[in-house]
Amino acid sequence: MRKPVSVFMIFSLILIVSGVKAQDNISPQRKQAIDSLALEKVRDLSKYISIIGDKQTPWSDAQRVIERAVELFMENSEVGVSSLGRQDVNYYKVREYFDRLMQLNYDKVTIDWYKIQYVSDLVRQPDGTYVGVITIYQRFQAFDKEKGLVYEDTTKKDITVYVKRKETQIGGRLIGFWDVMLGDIRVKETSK
Amino acid sequence: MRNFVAVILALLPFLVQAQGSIGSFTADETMFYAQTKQVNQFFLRFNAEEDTRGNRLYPGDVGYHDLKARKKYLEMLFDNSSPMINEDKKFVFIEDALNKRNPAFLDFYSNNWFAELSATFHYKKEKVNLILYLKIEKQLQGYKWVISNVYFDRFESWFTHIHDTLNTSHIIHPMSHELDFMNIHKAFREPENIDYYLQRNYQPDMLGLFVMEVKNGNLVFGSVNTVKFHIFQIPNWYFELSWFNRNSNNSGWLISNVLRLTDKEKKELMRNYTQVN
Amino acid sequence: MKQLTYQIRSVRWQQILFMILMAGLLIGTDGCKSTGKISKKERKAQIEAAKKQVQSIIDGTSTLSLDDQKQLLGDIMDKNYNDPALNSLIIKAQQKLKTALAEQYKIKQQMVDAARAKLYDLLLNKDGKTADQLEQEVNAIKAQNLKDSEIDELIERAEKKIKDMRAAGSAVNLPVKTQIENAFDAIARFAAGGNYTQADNTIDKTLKFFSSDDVPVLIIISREGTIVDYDKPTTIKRYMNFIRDTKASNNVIDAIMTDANGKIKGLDLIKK
Repeated sequence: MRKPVSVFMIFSLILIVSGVKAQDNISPQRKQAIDSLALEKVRDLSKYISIIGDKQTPWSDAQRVIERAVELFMENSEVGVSSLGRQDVNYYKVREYFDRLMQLNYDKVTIDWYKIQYVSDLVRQPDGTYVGVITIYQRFQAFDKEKGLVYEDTTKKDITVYVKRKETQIGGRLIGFWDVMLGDIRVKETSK
Repeated sequence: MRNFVAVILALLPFLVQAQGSIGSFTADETMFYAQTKQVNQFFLRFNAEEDTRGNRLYPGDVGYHDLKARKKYLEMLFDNSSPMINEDKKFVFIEDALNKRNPAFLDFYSNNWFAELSATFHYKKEKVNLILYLKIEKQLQGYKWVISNVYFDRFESWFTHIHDTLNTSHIIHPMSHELDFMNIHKAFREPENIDYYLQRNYQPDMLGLFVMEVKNGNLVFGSVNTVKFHIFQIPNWYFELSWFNRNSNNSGWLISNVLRLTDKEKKELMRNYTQVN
Repeated sequence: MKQLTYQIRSVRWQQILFMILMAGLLIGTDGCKSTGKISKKERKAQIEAAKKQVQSIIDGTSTLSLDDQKQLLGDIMDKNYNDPALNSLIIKAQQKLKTALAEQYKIKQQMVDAARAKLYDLLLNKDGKTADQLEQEVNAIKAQNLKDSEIDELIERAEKKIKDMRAAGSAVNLPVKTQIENAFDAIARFAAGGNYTQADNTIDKTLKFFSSDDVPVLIIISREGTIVDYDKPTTIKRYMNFIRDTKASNNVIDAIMTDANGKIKGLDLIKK
C-alpha cells in the first residue's frame, strides 16, 4: 500500500473522498506476513503465560514477564472465562488474570499449548484498524504434592488481535510498520 | 463424512506443519482440526476458501471455490445430532445451494445475517434474560456490529392488546371529537389497557424501549450466555448456526437448523431480527 | 565432482588390469620367440589388435584415461607397423585426443578458477563464517585434488587463517554482524537454560557495540518489490530483553548502520 509519501497521501485522500470499499487490496503474501506477525505476538503471549504459571519461575522474573505480557495488550483488555459447569462469563482485566495465574495455590502447574491454531481473516473497523481473532488451545494441569493431579482442563482461547498500519520517521527514514496489539480474550473450557 | 475424517486423519502430520505451531504439546488433536473453530472458518469452509489443512485459498489456487470440495465440506458443517435436520433436508439444501449453474456463497460483509445473543441483565434489580440481535454495518473505512433488535418478554407484555380486533369496550367512540375528546381520560384510567387504544398497524419499537430503560438505569447488563447466528444469504433458504462444545469431530460452529423459505417468509422472519420502520 | 573422482579411480583400475594383461602378452610372445623375428601371422594379429585399440580412442569408447590413451597411441606408433590403414587411424586418433585433452584442460581450469574465487571469499570471510564452516569449505576444495600450485598455496593460507581464528578464540575476529547474531542466540540459549545472569551479562556486553541503549531496531516482516513492511519499531535494549523473556531469537541482521565512531546507530532485522 505504501508508495512514496506524496502518492500515499493522495491515495489516502482519494480513499476518504470517494469512500472506497472498505475491503482492502493487500496481496496474499503481505497478508500472510501480517498474519504471522500477529501469530507471533500470540506465541509470545503463550510463552509468557507458561512462564508466569510455572511454579519454578522466581517471583521477580514472573513480575517482569507479567509486565511484558501486559505490554502486548491494548489498554482495558479483558479476559472472559467460562467453564463447562457455568454458563456465566467471569471478566478479568489482563493484569489481574496474570496475577491470579501466578498466585494459583498448587504445588505444581503445567501449561501446554496444542500445536493447532486458527487465524481468522482481518476485518477493518470504521477507523481503519484491522481486527482478527486467533484461536489456540491450552491444556492446564495442577498438581498437589500428596494427591498428584488435582485439576485439569483444556480451554479454547479466542484472542482479539488489532493490526494498524502506522508510519514513523527513524533516522530520516520513513518507516511503514504494522502495530499489532492484543485485545480481549475469550476463554472457553472444551468438552472432555 | 467418514471419507472426510479419513482425509483429515491422513493429513494430520502435514496439518501440524502447515498451520505452524504455537506449542509443542503432542496429544490427539484430530478433533480440534475437524472442529469449525470460528464463524470465520465456517464461512471459509462453506465457500471452499480454505483447504483441508486450514490454509487460506485465494482466487486462482487449486480448490478455491471448488464445488466438489464444497459438497464435502458442507456435509460436515451440519450438526449431526439435530432432530431438526433430516438427511433429505440436508441433501436438498446442499444440492440447491451448490447447484452448478449458480452456486451460493456466504459473504461476511453483506447483509442478511444476524447474531443472536442470549444475555443476562438486571431489570429493576431482578435478574432477567434478554435477547439481543446484531448485524454487521459498514461505517467509514470499515465495519462494525450494531444492535438491530431486542426481545424482552416484559416489553412484549405491554403490548398484548394491540392486535386484539375483537375488543369493543376499550374504545374512544367515533363522535368524541364533537366533545373536544373530553372522554379520553377514560382511556387512561386503566394504564394496563392503554394499548387497546392504539392504531391497528402499530409496531412497537422494542429498541426504543430498550434504550429508554438502559438510559433510565432500569436495565443493567450482566453477561452474554450463548450466541447463535441466523443466515439468510442462500436463496430460498434460512439456516441457523450454533456452537457445539463436544468431544467429537462434529463440533464447533455447525448448522443447527435449516428451513426452505419463500422470499415473503424470509422477510417475515427477518422482522424478528431487525427493526423495520 | 564425486563422479569425476569415481571415473578416475575406475580408470586406474582398468589401467592396472590392462598393464597386467600386456605384461602377460609380452611374456607370452617372448616365450614363443624362437627365431628373434615375429611371424607374419603374429604381426597381422598385432596390427589388428592395435587397430581395435586406436578405433576405440576415435570412437571415444576407450575406458582408459586421456593420458593413458596418449601413452598407448605413442606405444603403437613406436612399433612402426607401417600399415597404411593403421596409420590413417592413428592420425584420426591423434586429432581426437588433442581436442579431448584441450577440453579436459578447460574443465580443470574452470575448476581451478572456481576454487580460487571461493578461497578468496573464504580468506576475506565476508559472510562471517565460523572456523568450522570455513574448514568444511576448504576441505571440499582439497577433495577436488586439483594439483594446482596456486590453489595449494591458497589452501595453505586459508588453513592458517582457520588455525588463527581458533587460537584467537574466534569471537574477536568475527565480523560485528556475526558477533551480534551470536549474542542474540546466546541470550536465548542462556534464558532457555534458566541462566538469567549469563543472559543479562551477554545483553550488557552486546550493548557496548551500540551508540546507546535506545538505538532503533526495525524488524522486516515482508518485502514485496519496493514495499517493505515492518513490525513495530523497538530499541536494542528492549529487543534483547525480549529475546531473554521469550527465550528465542527468531531474526537475523539485514543491515547495520554505524556512526562516525564505528558504533551501531541503527539495526534492521529480518525473520530467519
